[in-house]
Amino acid sequence: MKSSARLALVSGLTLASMSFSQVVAHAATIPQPQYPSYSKNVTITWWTWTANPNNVIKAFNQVYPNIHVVPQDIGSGSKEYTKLATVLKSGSGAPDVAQIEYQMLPKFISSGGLQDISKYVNFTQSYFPSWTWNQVSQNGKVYAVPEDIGQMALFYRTDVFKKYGITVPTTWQQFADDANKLHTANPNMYFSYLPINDPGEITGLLWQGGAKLFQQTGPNSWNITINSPQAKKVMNFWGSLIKKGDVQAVSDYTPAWETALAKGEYAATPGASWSPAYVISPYVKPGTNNWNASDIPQWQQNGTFVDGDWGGATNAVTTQSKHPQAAALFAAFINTASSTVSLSGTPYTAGGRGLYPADKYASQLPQLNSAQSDLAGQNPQSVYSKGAASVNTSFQWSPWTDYVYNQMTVEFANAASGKETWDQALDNIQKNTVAFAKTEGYQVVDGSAASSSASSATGQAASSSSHVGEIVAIVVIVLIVGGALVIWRRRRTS
Amino acid sequence: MPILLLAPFVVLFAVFFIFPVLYALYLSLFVSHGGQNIFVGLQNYVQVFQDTAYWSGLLRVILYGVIQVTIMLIVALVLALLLDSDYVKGKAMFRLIYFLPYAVPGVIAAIMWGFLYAPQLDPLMSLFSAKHPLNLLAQGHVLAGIINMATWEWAGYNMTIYFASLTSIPVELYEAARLDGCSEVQTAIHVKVPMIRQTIILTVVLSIIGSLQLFNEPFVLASLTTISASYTPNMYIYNTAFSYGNFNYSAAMSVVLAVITFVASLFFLYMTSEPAPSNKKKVNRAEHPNMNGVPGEVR
Amino acid sequence: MISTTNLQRENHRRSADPVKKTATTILLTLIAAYFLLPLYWLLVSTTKTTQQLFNTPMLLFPSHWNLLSNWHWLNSYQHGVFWRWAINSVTYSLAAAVLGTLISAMAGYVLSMYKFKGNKAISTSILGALMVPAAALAIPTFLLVKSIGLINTYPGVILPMLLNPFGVYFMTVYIREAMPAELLDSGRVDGANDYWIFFRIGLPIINPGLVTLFLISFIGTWNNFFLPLVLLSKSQLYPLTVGLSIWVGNLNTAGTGMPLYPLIMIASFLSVIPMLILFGVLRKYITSGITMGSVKS
Repeated sequence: MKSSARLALVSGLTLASMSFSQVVAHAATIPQPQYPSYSKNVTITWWTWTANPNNVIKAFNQVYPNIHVVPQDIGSGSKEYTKLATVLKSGSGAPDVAQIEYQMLPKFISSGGLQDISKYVNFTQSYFPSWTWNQVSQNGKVYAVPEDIGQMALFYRTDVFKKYGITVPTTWQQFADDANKLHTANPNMYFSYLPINDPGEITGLLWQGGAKLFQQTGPNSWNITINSPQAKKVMNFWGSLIKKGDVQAVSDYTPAWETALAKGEYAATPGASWSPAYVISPYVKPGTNNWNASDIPQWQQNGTFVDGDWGGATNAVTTQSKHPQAAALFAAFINTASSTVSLSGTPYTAGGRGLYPADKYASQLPQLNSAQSDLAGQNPQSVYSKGAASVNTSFQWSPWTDYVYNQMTVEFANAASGKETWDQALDNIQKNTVAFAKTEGYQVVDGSAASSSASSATGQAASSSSHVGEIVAIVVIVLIVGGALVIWRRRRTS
Repeated sequence: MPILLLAPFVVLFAVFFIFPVLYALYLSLFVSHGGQNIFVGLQNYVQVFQDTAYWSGLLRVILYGVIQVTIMLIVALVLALLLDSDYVKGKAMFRLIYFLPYAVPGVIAAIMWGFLYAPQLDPLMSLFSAKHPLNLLAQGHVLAGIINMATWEWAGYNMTIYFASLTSIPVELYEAARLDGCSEVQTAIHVKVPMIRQTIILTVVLSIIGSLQLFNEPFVLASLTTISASYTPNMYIYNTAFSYGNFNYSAAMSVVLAVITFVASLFFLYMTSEPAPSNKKKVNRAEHPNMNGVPGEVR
Repeated sequence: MISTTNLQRENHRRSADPVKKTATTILLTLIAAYFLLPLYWLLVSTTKTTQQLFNTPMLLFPSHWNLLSNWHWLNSYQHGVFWRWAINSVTYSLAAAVLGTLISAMAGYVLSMYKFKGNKAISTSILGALMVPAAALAIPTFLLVKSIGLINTYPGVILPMLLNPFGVYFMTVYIREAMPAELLDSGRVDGANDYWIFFRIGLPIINPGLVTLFLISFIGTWNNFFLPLVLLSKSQLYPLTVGLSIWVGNLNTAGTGMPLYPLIMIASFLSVIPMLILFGVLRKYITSGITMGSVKS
């Protein structure tokens, strides 16, 4: 009774006034760890791309007034990682705390860019889902604190589903049937889309499909299995839908895709818990948001419910930090304290950060457990909580994510345009990644070598012949241009 | 000789050109494993020559260079000839308009065209085909998209160069052609174009160098398309160094690209030069301010 | 001096066929539309919200203008970091153009007016330098700037930009054309030293060439993307080109806040405007250098 009354009070206040102090003062509603004290006066820098970082820092300073935090926006995603890799290599200029997505942690860990902060942050371990903690630690050392997650769900348009009599799919087989039904009924619409330029989403789908791309077997040794049967099952599934035209292969976050969303050309899409705020509501025409969330479809009808993850970041402490304890406390505090976790879960339009916090207890927050304006007024909390608790825990990332993502973009684009099969695409990614990892000095076991030696051999042949093709083409062009010039010169001489 | 006047340039040249070139050569002979630099001789170069991604990127920019430079320079030449003809009023205005895109940073040009290529947004793009609108950002077409972008940016610039050269042709030559009964078009082809041959050759060389260095447009478009990290040799060099952190391999690729550019330019210059030194030799020494020559400028 | 005057060219005019005249003008107008279209679209887009960008006809102004709110957003976003980038762009461009032009002029003057051992070698290596792609130099330059401790500083960006082999090449050719060799001798007869001659007599004579090179370097630095991208990792030091590409990159990551499309549009437009004005006013100077090169005495 008491706690629900307080919840009501909080949400009432949050709605009545979005001012920062009220959000902070009345947000203490989720379980908290005991924060150690820190008395030194220090200044630390924090690379983050999320909105409203100053509100987070203000809340942090109410408990740790001595730690002065300077936020810096270096750009998001690959832009930040490129810069971080550069400043780490150059020996100076790195921040104390960096926002890093899960998939990039192994790279910065193995290049020696991140510090072991386990002794400072282990007291927060029980506040996070175990799969996130697995991903921020390696060989018993902890390098970052989970910030947010992107457990996957299915987003769909209630108006379209109603109009065409489509029921929300719970398995991928039903998804395919629905796709066919819609596209047949209305050829101008696609049931869904596959973003071939977005390996993050595709990897999330592979993850949910049970694929394990990488397994670390020692400090410097890895097992690589990108072209596993599970992965091929997932990609061929989408490939067949694309081929039939029921689903569109598209590049996401492009004007073409954004316009298609705005014009309502898609009926459904797998997405992450952050998708409503970043995929749907910015682009749909105001007043026409009919999107709802549902459980991600399953590969097995009556098996254990499994989910994958797409996105989410951590706060890591770099080796250049001169105040690792202060930096680690900042990372730990902002991702577990009620005041800051509620800011994470508050939409950016209301002064928050617009994330789905990794903190297990965040789902109790009124901001998350309520009707969402980014959806058609639905409260998606049960969907998200179920998803977060069902994410496949044994999935691992590798130190070569940027390389693998680049390969995926190239090969999946080829497969979508019919230049190669989806099996070949995965085989090529596997082969190239193994080669790349070896040149980078890692000990690598090719996990596909035993099972699919035949297909990898054909892949090799295909690729080396294309190499020959390129060289021949270059030689031909050079000969034609050169020959033309020689003839021209001769003529002028004579 | 006032040595102090020359000194600043020589120092800068030594520090920011000679030294980097030598340093790149040095770097390319090592590999770095776990913070250890190991001398490997030419191994990085062997790897470059076996690297499919590098050569397909190179093929792509060569293809791009052949098509884009041809289209752009023909457009520029035709515009310059038209503006130099009697047919047009308001030449100054047209010249200014054609020259304007040169003032737009490549990054911004890429953003603008990225939008203009979206078939659902652009009435022009959907004209090409109602059912399957042409999408210049789609995988097979994106090179065409970049070609158009670069032509838009640089055609007016080259047009300005040609036009300036054309205005320096002695009028007597036109008069002679006219007396011989040449039409305006014949005059253009047989009198004007040969007169600015040297200028054309120079723009070709600078454009070749520019196209082998293609970077800005695909780099910005990468977030809108399926353009890969090794789409052009320059992008590959950049990403290998700054994303993958492999400066040694990146240096080896740089050296190979530099040698190819150098040889191609020299070859082209040699082949188009006058075969024997002639004494008529009052070749138009039009020397052109060309952005491609400014250090750090990469297209 | 000048082989062709406008008057002569006018005399050369023939009365052209009016049909051909109209056809040519129509063709040139269509081509002009092609060159102007993206800029017009950019202007239209500055008045739209993100949703309007994707929901309203792209070449029409929206029924409800949001130019003012976009403007306010731009000024307040990350404490007006856009203006910081604009100041940086001006700083880099001015520094590189002023100092780079002076250094090029000084070197060009020596290379064109004096015969000395090594002249040929320097001139040839300058020509060679024009053919080496900038990317080949980027990585060693980065490592060099880093090792002398200038990474993420103004000098660290500006110093490499000062090297302009093309500028030296241009000035060498220009001075050879524009400056009579006797000037040096007559100055010497009067007892002036060589430095005095350069600054007091030489510079005024080559003034038009200096203006041209200054403008070209200014525009080149303003539009430069690759070098600052490689050398800078502090957003406070970015020029506009790098800053805007960061905003474009931010479009597809969760947590970044609203899609920055309106900001990107208005910021792009504002960063093109100064160049367009510079062009309109100074185009004569920019092209005069080109014409100068072909002037024969």
